[in-house]
Amino acid sequence: MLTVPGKKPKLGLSLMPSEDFREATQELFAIDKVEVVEWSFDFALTGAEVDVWSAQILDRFSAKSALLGHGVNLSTLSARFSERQEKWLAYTRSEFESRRYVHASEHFGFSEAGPIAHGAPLAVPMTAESLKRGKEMLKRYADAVQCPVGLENLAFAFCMEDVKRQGEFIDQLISAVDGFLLLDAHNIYCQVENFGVSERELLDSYPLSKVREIHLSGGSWSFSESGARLAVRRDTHDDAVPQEVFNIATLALKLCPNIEYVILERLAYTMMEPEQQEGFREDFETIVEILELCYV
Amino acid sequence: MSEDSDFEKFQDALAELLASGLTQAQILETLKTDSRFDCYREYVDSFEPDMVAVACELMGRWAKRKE
Repeated sequence: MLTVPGKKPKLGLSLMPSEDFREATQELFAIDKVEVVEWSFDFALTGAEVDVWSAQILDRFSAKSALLGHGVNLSTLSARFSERQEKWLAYTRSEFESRRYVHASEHFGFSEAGPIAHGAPLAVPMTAESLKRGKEMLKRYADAVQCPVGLENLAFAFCMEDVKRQGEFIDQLISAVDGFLLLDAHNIYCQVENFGVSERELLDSYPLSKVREIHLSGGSWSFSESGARLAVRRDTHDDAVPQEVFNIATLALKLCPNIEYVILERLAYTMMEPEQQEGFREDFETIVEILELCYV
Repeated sequence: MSEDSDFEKFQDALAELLASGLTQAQILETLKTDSRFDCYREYVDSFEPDMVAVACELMGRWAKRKE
């Protein structure tokens, strides 16, 4: 395996405040294998409670400047700027004043519009107007968090245009805040499977020199009602990381010279069985091995 | 008060439609014929039915309606 010049990225986990996540990961935390923690800091706004164990981890990683913020519900590319988003930004500002985050990311796409307050992000038409709205929102986000801001590539696409143009569009968006790209390897895999594009071609359509963080996760398949494909790959974060995603992440490590963080994700309450928790730790160890092999 | 932009109207209509609970066939038909989507007609016409189905499922699973 070809080694990558540069410093080995820190490996970490996306923290989930749930019992199954604690059981799966406490051993990794206990032996200091987890170098960085990512936290979806806006969980609290949806009524989720943070248990004592999770809060202690957040404080510990904040104290050693190893805490990454990952917003979920800003709705970066909403056409309108809503009162809910204003409140979200105010909450985020206070959260980033109370804990020391290294950087802050959000998702490409919109989740608030019409009758919907928030949900899963969906693709937008990539036009001068959506670019303008997105840049304005990223500037508000950067102002609230007072640290580097980035965007994560979206798994979901309505059509091939969404797939082919997303990288270039994200580049234009993050340029407004001198931001970074959070490259989600499983989201790339979803588009490779669902739209029949090559992983190398797709990766090359992104601003790879601006990748500062990588995500790995698993997902699931759903039935293709149209019959246009065997099945539809979904970014559900509820299963082990497939080999294809490890391969994409390894390729990305070679192509992206400025990666600082690699994060393994898994949705809460999807590792209720001991075998699933063991599988999660095995995924973590596989990433450890990939990093050791990739970096001098 | 300023008039809603095409982008605002389009996004509102799309979110409303995807969360409407209509059948997939009805949603696809509405996307093709509803004038609210005319401003992005070429884009909407390229939507893949499987992906529209995924968007509806995502709405059902994760979307919270405004109070």
